[in-house]
Amino acid sequence: MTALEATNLVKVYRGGSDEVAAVRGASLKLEEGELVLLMGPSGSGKTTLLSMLGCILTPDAGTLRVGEETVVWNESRLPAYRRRCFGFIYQHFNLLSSLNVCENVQVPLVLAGRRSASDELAEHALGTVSLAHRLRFQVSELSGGEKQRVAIARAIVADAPILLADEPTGNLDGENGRGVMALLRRLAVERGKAVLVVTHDERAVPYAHRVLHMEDGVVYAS
Amino acid sequence: MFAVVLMLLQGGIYFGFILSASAVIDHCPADVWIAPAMTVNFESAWLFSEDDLVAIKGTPGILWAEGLIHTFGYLRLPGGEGRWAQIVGFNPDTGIGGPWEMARGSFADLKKPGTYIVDESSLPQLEGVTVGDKMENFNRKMEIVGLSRGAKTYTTYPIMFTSFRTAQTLPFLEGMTNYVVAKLEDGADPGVTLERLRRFGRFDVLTRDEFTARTRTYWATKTGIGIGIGVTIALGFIVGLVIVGQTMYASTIERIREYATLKALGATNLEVCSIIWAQAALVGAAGCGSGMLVSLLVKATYSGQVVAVYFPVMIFPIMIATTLAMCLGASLLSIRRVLRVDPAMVFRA
Repeated sequence: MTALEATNLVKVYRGGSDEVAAVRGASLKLEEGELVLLMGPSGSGKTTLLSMLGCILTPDAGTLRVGEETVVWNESRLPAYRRRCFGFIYQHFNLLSSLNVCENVQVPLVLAGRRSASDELAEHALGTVSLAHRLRFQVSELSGGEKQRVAIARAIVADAPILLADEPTGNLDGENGRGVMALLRRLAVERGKAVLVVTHDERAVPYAHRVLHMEDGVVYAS
Repeated sequence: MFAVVLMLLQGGIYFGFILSASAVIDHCPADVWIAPAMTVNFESAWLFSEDDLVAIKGTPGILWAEGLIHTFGYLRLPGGEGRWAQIVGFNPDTGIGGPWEMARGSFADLKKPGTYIVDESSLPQLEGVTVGDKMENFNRKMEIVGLSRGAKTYTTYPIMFTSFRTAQTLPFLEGMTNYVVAKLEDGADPGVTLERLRRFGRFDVLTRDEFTARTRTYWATKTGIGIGIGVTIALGFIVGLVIVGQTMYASTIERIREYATLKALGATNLEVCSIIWAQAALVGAAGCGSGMLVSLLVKATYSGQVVAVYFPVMIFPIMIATTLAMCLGASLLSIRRVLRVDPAMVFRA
């Protein structure tokens, strides 16, 4: 079943009289249970496209369907799409430094108004990424690989059907990078998540079901 | 905290001053104050003949009436220095208009001519004179026979009490008085009785509350004290606003990426703003709590000294509300910044 379908997404950045078309009619489909890589050179529009797919950035044209629903690009409605449909994983982890591991993982649950069940769910999510023993650790006490696994736990804790990852192995060594990709693959295969990974890292290719390429704002299938 | 201490202490000094200015009126059991026309406050009343006291006493509805003098004396202290002093002359037989708490001695000691009671709070201004010391007031011999408590001076002059008769021996006061204070009979109609007294035509006839208000209003509005303290309080507010604002803004900028992360995870603007407001409330609570504590310590330290500091109960909720408003106001820049933060920045290095 299709988890996400983007059709002819366009994004043009305007600065004074200059216009830069970062994404020029990008289309892609993401099915449940598959891990898709989106690769391409720097400046090809991958991150802009990812921002639009995650309802963080409003496109100038095109449509986006999430599950059965067509996204309405109304600023007040976008946070709800983000909470309900997406888990985000970033190159720089973006964990909240003042919160401990468990509290970081609980953030999406708190935002979704599910605070009462958050202890149990956070512990379960951290168990999935093999970090249950780091529950009360401060973020600063973790290694890079552990931080990224906490970020993955945060992405899956609210059971979002789609995971969007931006260079998830970019700040990790080979072993940790492979561990993270294996984990994402497992989430796709075993939990039925639709996982889109934007990456430059060729080592990620073996973990993907499909690889898409992006160049000059357009997506091409391999 | 600094801003809270500044605002609270200034407010306390203001209330302490204002209460001290009307303290004799407030502690006097009289219902009515009869003063020369155009009297603007307690210590500026002109004089009228003591003979009027008889007519006032005879007015229907008056239970009793007493003369009361407020004047200034020029003292020659035991060491030889000169010092101006406020002097209240009252009837020591009734105690009406006299000190309301005695630390040493009694009103009866004032029956001897030339005797005075000094308020404890005024002793530092009198070079440490004490009971038994002899000095001069306008070249008339005087002796300290007692110490009162609680009649804090609200000017730079020490405050002293003496008998009405001794006060009348001072220059220009022979056979004169500044005030007649009177008590209404039970059941007497205050409006009617006061109107009878006003028919004398030469007096301001005021209830105690009216005279208190007139005296306080004078000091608050005609002397620059109100505006001076008001400006200091406003400065305290502004200083607090700027310091808290800068601190919060710096903290917000430091964590701007985390706010972007929250927005990217689906936090609404309201939810992100509520974090800033919670921080503002926390800063306000900490500042207000510690500021109040320090202010109370300062008040306790200076209690009994020359400066009267008084915190009415209402000043605390007002201070809490003011501090909260200050912190919420100080958070506006931070709010503006997080509202504009682009959640897409989470993808950038």
